[in-house]
Amino acid sequence: MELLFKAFAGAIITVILVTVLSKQNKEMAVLAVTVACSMIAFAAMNYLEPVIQYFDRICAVSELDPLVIGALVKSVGIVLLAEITGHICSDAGNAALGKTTQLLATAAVLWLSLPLFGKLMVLIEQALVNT
Amino acid sequence: MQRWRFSLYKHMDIDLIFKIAAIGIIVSILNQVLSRSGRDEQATMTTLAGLVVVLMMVAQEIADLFTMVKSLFGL
Repeated sequence: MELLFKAFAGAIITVILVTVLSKQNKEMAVLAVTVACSMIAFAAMNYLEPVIQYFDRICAVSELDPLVIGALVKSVGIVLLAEITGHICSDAGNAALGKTTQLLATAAVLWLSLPLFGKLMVLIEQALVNT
Repeated sequence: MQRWRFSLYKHMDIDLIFKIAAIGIIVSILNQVLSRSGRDEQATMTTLAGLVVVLMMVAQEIADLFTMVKSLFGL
């Protein structure tokens, strides 16, 4: 839990620093925010790692197709990175770039889910044949 | 699946943010001094140099984050 409080404190300190810095040097303020965001994301990954390992264990125990959980986990990773990137772009005043990044992430997630849709189609076909 | 084992305290180094803030303040002071003394070109070059130095520091951090996310989520 120490890490959590450290991250919160770091975020508050960064906001104060960036508020002062952005009046003098906006580029440096954006870079400082980027570093702070990446540090907090590192902290978040530290908490997410056991969760993903737990997903793997559930997948192994329930004999689920790794494709299902794999696509889900990959989608979470892509969306996380896209959110961070998009918000940094938006904060720097480039909302269009941020939105486009999120569009790219959506496209990538759809592309990742294509095998799942394929499996769903096969399942529907089998159900229709059996009825 | 191979998972990323990382030293979190290396990445939770708040000193980096203070370093960036310090460089930003120094660069802005230099910029003010140089532009007031009529050396606008040198002021721009100073700002650019400071930006490149900080960008190199930030690029390493972002690369670490992306590598970690790639390993953790199996991308």
